[in-house]
Amino acid sequence: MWRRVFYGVLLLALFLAPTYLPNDYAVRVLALVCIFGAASTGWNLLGGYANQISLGHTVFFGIGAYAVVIFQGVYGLSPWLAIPVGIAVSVAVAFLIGWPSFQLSGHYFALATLSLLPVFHIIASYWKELTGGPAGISVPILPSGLDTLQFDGPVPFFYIAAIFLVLVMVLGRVVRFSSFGLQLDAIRLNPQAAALAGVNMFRVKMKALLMSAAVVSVAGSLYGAFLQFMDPDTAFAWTITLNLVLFAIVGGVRFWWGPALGALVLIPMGEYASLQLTGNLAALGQLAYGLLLIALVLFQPRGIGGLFSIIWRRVNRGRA
Amino acid sequence: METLQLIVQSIANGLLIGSVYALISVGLTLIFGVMNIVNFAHGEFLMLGMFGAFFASNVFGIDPLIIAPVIGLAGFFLGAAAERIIIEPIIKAPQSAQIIATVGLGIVLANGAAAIFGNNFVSVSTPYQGQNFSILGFNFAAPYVFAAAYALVVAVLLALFLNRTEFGKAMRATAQNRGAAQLLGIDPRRMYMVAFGLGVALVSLAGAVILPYTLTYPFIGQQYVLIMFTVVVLGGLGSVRGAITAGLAVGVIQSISTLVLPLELQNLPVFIVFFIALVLIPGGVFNRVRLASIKRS
Amino acid sequence: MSNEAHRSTPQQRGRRIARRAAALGTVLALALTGCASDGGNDSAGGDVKAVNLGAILPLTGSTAQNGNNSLRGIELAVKQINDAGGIKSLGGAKIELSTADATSDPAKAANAATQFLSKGEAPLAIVGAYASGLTVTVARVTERAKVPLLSTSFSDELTQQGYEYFFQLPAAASKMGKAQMGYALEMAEAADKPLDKVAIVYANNAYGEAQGTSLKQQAEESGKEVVLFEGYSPTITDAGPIAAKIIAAKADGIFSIAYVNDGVLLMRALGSQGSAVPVFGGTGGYITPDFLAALDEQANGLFSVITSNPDGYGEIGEDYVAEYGEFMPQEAHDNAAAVFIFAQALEENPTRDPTELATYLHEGSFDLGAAGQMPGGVVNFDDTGVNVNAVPLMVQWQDGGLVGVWPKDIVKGVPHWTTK
Repeated sequence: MWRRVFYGVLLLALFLAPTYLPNDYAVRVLALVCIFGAASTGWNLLGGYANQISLGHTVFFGIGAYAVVIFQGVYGLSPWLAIPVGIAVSVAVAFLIGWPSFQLSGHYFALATLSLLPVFHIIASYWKELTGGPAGISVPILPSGLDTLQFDGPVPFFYIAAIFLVLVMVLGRVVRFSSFGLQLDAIRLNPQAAALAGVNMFRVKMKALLMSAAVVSVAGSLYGAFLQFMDPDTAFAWTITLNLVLFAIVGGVRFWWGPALGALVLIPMGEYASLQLTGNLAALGQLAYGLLLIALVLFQPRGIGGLFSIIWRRVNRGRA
Repeated sequence: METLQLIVQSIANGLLIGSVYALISVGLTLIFGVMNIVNFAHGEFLMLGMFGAFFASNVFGIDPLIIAPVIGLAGFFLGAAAERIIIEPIIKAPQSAQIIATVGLGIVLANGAAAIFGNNFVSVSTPYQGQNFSILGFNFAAPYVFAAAYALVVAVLLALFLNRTEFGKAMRATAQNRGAAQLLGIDPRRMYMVAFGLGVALVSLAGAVILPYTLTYPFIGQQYVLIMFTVVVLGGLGSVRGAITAGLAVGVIQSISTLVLPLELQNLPVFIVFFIALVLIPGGVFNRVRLASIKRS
Repeated sequence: MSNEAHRSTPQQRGRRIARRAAALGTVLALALTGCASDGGNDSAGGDVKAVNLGAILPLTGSTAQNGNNSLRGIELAVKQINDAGGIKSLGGAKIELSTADATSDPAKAANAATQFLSKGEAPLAIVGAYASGLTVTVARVTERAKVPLLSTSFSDELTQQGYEYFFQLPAAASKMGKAQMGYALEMAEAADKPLDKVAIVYANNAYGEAQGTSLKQQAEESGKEVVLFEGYSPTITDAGPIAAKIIAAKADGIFSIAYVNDGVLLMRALGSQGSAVPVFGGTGGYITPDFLAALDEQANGLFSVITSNPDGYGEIGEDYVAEYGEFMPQEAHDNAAAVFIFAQALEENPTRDPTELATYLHEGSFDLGAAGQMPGGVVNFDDTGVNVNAVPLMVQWQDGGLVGVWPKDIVKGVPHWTTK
């Protein structure tokens, strides 16, 4: 019961944010937190739950983003139509890359996914008829509304992003505590034993991959609608991969709220840093991310979430 | 026949650039062979080698080709230090942790360079940049020839090291079977440090050697990722001989493809090769018996 | 290992508390961010409130050289205007310049623009973003925010969107491409040199593509054979294959559209593979001091189309040399012109309202300072933001300097045909 109250409070805090945040810019940032928090949660379904590190999930993000921008910018269709198309293409690509790679060890899977990004970048740059080539596609300024996903201010968009985040987190939680989640866990902890116990490694991994690809694709679609512009560099940026991985690790890959927490902490920090640090120093922000990754891996692989459970356990011991 | 001449020239160019690809990738495969770790920061070490050579050239006026061995040596120490600080603690950690640690290292190196030097593109001016060698009617640009020559020399030295010296043989032993090597009295930790150091030395030397015909900036590491990983997978993760052969092959493939494909798609055949290699030959052409790494997943 | 599907209540409670703390903490962090970004909006001090001018330029990344050159031009212009007394009709208000780095990423550029416009006091106008790819995204933001954007980007697209707040100083890419090819053919004919087979290579970005297509069109319209038409990645690190392809195509003239880095690589590669074919550049990297510094002697003989004539930079050109130690590149001059236009517009139609400023920018004629050295001696924007007087010129590197060589009636120099 208390748990429900707590979630209720959090949801209120989230949806009432535009009222207490100081300006539009902060609302924009929070919208980004929602989009990337959701994307990272999606990544985590495969990366954290099953320990299959994918370094190429950005591809699904980019596909989703391009889908929206192409549908709206080139064909004048609704972005809402683009989203399922983006999902379909992403899932297809995910299947094609997962099918051979899952037969290989973790390293090979990471390598295979790593190669996806440059390839899609090349395709997006070359297939000008579809993607507008390197110049990209801009969505013309359209009348504001839910049907065009263009608004005069960031607040309505923020609500859409927030709803999406909540849905994805619910998915994350459901998966985590389901039998599917148990299977993923088994694969993570001891693949050989899992196989012996009858877990169909390939099928389970593939399911997680496809699910995560779909989630990341929708996040990408929202991002595309948010920017109203897409080009190969923006869609298939290595920094997106980093963010997906980083948020999950910082928040704690073992927790369904881990990636969202990571996004909530890191994105505002990153924005603040980029406001303060300019020129060469701007790189210091990203450098800190790298150090954070290394430090977490070395000292606290369970992320902030792990810290919380350690703290909680200490507190609990005191109580009991 | 003119087309024939074009094809031969293209293959020759491909071999030149391929030898450089081999030089860049051989360190990566060596590290994996000995330590079973994929160094996702390998591209950033290449970048550091390039910047090192750039500074030597700008500040002291020393040609990159001359300073290259020094850069390599510096790379060795840098690599050994990185191994001790970051890699060692996670040698026994799950693969995902290892992947993330080296990815993090790459980010730190690239952004560190950007913070210090700025995200600007730089290149060197050398006297031989405008020269070429003309042999049998074929033209070979001087910077490429020198780079390839370097690669050849280094390959020979590496082979001698691995096959003729005690240390080298000990390293190969560790790569083949860690447990047995340990029983024979070889200290695996020392091997890891040297292997990583050597791997970084090779790639930073490569950076210095290719700078004359290219340019560099802090985030250039990412550009070489596809090539590097294609070469090591094609040659078999862990096989030095495989990396050399695969490097040459990838160079030729890329070069020939520019004859028929638009330049923008230059890397697409490389990726196709990569994917095929990944799917069909998990152990690489030279390493059919790498089932151990698959079982360890 | 915490694998159980359901936990005992105490641990759940603990997590709740933890999460609550996290939520609170980050709300605070966000609030702080908001405070920090609101914090710097008082005027420049003194009696009269300054007018804010924003500059969004690529200061890092692949076009950093051009971005920094542009900024220098802007800063010089601001300095000169302020030293001369500021905007007198606004009580001597000084121009206060704030800058943002657009990087080389269009999404980041848009983000920088949004940040600019949402924190503190918004600028009265913005100058930027040099590169067409970046300007396209920045322009959307400025159009939405109803703040005038004065730009030296060539992109045709920008003046075809129906924007009311966008002002393009140079000729559009299509015009530049037409001139790059057209003038080259005219010069060749006048000198009786063969130029029937042309090779066109361009950096694969908004600028390269637009201008490249226009080059091709003009070549075909003039009845010339396009033996090569290829784009390459702008962040290319090895120009060997491109040069090989160009040489294999056996063209009489090479037309290239590149920024500094790919331009330098390409020239070096062509040189080392023994090419002696004349090269015609499309501004970008070809006309910068950085280009000269990297190629030195090898730069001599290269042609390029340009938006404004360096022979005619006069006093401000000299001031630039005095201040920065190298000649004033096109982007520095043209961006300086943008600042002078801003100042003149405010001088003639004093206002602190961006919309009023935008309206006047469409109506007025601007020839103050560097603006008076743009082609035609005056800048006039039509309804779509096009500068109706913009006309490209052709220059050539001769003895380490840029000399205007075509069209004959506008320039002082003559083309040198080298057989390198």
